[in-house]
Amino acid sequence: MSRHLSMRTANPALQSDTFKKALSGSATAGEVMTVNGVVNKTGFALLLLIISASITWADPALSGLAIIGMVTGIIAAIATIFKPTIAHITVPIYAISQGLVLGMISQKFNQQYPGIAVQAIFLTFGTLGSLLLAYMSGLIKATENFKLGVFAATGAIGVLYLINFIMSFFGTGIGVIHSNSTMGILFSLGVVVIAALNLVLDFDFIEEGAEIGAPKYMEWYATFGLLVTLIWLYIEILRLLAKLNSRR
Amino acid sequence: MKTEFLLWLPIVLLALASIVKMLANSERSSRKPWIRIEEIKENE
Repeated sequence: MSRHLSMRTANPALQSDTFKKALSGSATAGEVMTVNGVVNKTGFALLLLIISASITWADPALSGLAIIGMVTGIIAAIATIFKPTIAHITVPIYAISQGLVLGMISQKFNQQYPGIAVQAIFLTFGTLGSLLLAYMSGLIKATENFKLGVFAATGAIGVLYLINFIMSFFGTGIGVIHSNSTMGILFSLGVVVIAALNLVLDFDFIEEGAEIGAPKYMEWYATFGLLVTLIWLYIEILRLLAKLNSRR
Repeated sequence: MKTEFLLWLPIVLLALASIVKMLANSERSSRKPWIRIEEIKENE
C-alpha cells in the first residue's frame, strides 16, 4: 500500500489529498469504495455519455444543445471537484453534458473526414484496454518518478493550451498545436501518449481508494476522474487522426 | 498502408507484452519453490 501513499496525479480531479479529505469526513461511512463499484459506475456513465452523444450526432442542427451541454458540464465538473459527496448526482449530469458536446464535435470531424469518429472511438477503447492489461500485469507501474513525469508533462501541455487560448483572442496561436506538419503530428502524438499515461494514474487512484477503504461516494469521484481522462484522450486522438487525414 | 493503422501498433504490442508478462507471472507462481523452510523441533 505504501507505494500509493504519496499520491501524485496530473488529473485535476484526482489530487493527492482527495482521499485524506474523504477519509476525514467519513466517520459515518458504512460501505467502502471497491474497484468493482468503480467499474460498474464507469460503465453506466459511459452508457449515458454514448446515448446523449448519439442525440447531437444524429441531428447536427442541435448544436445549441451542445453549447448547453458544455456549460452544464463545466458546472457539474466544478461541483464534483469541490463537493465529492454529491458526485452521484453531478457525475451522471457531467457524462450526459459531455456526451452532447462530444456528439457534436465528432459529427463535425466526421463530416470533414468520414469514418474518423469510429476510428477514434476504437483507438480510445483500445488504448484503455491495453493500458489496463499493462497495469494489471505490472508491466507499467505507477512509481513516484512515473507520476512526477506524467504530472509535469500534463502540466506543460495545459500551460501550452492556455497560452494558445489567450493568443487566440489576438487572432494568433501556437502553430504546432493546429499544424498538420510532421512537427504538428509528433506534437499530437506526444499529447495522446501523455493523455493515455494519465489512465495509469487513474487506475492507481482507484486501487488506492479501494485499498484504504475510502467512502462509497468516492466510486463516483473516481469514475469522474476516469471520464475526464477518457474524454481528453478521445479528443486528442480525433485531432491526431484529422491531422493525418488532412495530409492526403 | 494507411497511417492510421500504425497507431494500433503500440496498443497491440503493449497488450501482447502484458499478456506474456501475466503468463510468465502465473507460471512462476505455480512452479515448485526451490527452497523449503521447515520448522525444526528442539533436539531433533
